[in-house]
Amino acid sequence: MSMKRINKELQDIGRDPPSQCSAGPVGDDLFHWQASIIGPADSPYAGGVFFLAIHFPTDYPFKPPKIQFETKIYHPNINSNGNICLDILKEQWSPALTISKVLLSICSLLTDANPDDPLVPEIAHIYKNDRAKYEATAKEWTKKYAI
Amino acid sequence: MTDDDEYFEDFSDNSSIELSGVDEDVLGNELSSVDISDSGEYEFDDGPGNTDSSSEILYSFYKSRTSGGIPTHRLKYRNIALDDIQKELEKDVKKVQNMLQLDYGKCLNLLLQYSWNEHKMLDMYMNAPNHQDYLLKNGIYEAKFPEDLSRLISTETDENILCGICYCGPTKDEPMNFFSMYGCKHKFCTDCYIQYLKNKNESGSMAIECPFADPKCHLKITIEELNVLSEYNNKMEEKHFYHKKQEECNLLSEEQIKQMYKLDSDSEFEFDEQLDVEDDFNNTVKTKEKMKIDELVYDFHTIIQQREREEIDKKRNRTIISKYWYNIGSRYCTINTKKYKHCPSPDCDNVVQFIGFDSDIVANIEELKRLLMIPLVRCKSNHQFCFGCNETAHAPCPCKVVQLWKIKCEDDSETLNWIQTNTKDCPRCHSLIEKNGGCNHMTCKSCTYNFCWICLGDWTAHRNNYRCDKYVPNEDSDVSKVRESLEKYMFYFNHFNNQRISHDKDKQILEIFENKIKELQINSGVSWIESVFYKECVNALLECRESLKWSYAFLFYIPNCRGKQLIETAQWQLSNKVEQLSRLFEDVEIGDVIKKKPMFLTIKSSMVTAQNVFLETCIDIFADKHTLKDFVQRWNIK
Repeated sequence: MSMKRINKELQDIGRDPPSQCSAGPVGDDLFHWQASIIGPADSPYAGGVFFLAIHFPTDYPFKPPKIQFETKIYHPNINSNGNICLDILKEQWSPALTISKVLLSICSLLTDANPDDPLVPEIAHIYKNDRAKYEATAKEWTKKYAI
Repeated sequence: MTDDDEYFEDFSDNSSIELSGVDEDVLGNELSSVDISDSGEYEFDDGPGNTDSSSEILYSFYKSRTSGGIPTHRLKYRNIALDDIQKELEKDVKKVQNMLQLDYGKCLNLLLQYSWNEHKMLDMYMNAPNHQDYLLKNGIYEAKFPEDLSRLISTETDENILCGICYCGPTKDEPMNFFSMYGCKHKFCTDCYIQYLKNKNESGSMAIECPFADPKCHLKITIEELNVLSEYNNKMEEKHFYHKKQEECNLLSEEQIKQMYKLDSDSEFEFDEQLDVEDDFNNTVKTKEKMKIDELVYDFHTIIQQREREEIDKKRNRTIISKYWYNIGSRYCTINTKKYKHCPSPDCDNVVQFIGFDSDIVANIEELKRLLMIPLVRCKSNHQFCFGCNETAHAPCPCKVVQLWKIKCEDDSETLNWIQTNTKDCPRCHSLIEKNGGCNHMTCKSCTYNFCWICLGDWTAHRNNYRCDKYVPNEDSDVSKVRESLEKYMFYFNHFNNQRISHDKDKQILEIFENKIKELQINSGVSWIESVFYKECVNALLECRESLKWSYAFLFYIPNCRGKQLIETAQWQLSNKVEQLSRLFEDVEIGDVIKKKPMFLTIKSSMVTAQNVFLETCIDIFADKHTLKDFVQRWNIK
């Protein structure tokens, strides 16, 4: 079941790729993908390319995929290990969601962070109180790690 | 109970569950617990004579006072199954349903949303400017369900339809079944929907949302809709199961069945030879023999049927709907932990319902704990556990002491062994010293004392040779306090551990034995009733071992006094009986078990008496208020 579904998703992404994103399996293992997101133009991540690792559980799509940033990124909801705090990757996951929808959600998370439910409280604090400083640091990191 | 019996107990405020006017007679069938409802009316929770054996009132100790006249402050409780909670909750839902005039499942979802806080829920509902919006916000579609919900499952042949989960669709030749909730019409194939619900069930979710994600549909599935899918799933699984069984049955020939019962065909030939001599006689014998075979084949079939039924029952127990109710029930228990406790034994679904105390002084569990009493309860399946801390039975050790002991064991047990084998105390300053070389000439770093590792004597006495010929007295007068307490701990820990190991070993042996007893039942026609005594003895033995085990932890914390000596004597007597019974289990051959029944029962009853005496002695030690106060202060028990 999960194999079939992952294959279908792969076909769909090939046929109708989401804007700003791409994804596909690493090697022969269909359960392990790599994805890339281009930093949204209206965010401090513009110009950067961010890589993500995707692992599908065996009971996919009933359980959410595990997604991690492989490129370092300065963001209140993404920690230094690349873990993402996003509701649809946890309790809000639905089997009707797809990787391409999840990637689009991550894109919008880059544009609009959610500082009220932060994974890195320090960054969230700066985001809320000194937006200019946050943007400068995020730009600097993007330049350093993602370009 | 009829629907008219409204249930007025307030579950929302679990801190103030009061049970007044509870009176019962010895038989426990004149039970009438009266609750004061918000409307100020008195309602009978269970009418007199309406109580079956399952709701019999039970007590946490066998006596209300010890032989020494000390009150045991017994906890009163009742055994219920999760189903019983379901019945109670259903009454709650029905009550809300009457007020809101909504479908049953929608009211259930509302109550789940507010953790069964009915008042808060009703408050929010009544104050909402628009009921429909309010319901929608809570994932509820207001419009009433039609009579026949089974139409929510539809068979589709349209090739344009695609299941959003497995990405499969029907064709004209291969139709697929789809399900959608009444309120949202988001269709997914039944297999995926069922799998989705099972997954959510597994993680304990309730009021599960529709899986549709673009945009997220927040409609929550109701119990009625869940039931449609659950029934469908049962039908499918049963179909599959019977199909499989049929295949298996076809594989068994009569020959195989005979072989299973070791009926070799030789015996029949013998009869054939004699057939000429005494026709009539042999005919009867043959019919008898044939009858026997038929009987056995019949037997075999009944066993198979029985197994099938068991397997179906097992499956039934795990239907989507029952698992869903199970989740609701256990969540409810966790919310109302003061009133309900889930049996902690693995795979046990039983629940114990708190009723009250058999005491004038104690009003709640905390007060009972402060008196160092242990409210031991037994679930329907006879698993004993503590109502105070939800751990397996740990009498005579009070809950708090169990905690202390566990922490101590975690901290100490690993290092303890090493300290015991590798270190000694300096004879002068009592610092712990590790021997890190082969030489026996030690110099204490803290006090620079020179001594011999072997005899702990002054090194000056050994000046000329590196040999120590001095006899080491066992009761070295100058053992440090640290070592003394370590040794004391070591002593009790070892005994504790020893009992634990014995318990586990006994359990293993007895389990094997039990299976053999079952064989015996089948083979030699010993009735089930007759062999029940065996199981009782096993349980009693294991429980006494638990008591003994915890007694060592308890004694570790008890200061030396006369009471301690009494406990030790009682403990010794119990220990004797336990070993005696354990020995009997080991010595008696399976075949003799039934013959030795009186012996088992005699030793068992004397063991149980010893256990009771022992537990009473342990309670008696705190009869004196000062001892209790000292103990509580000494170990900082709050």
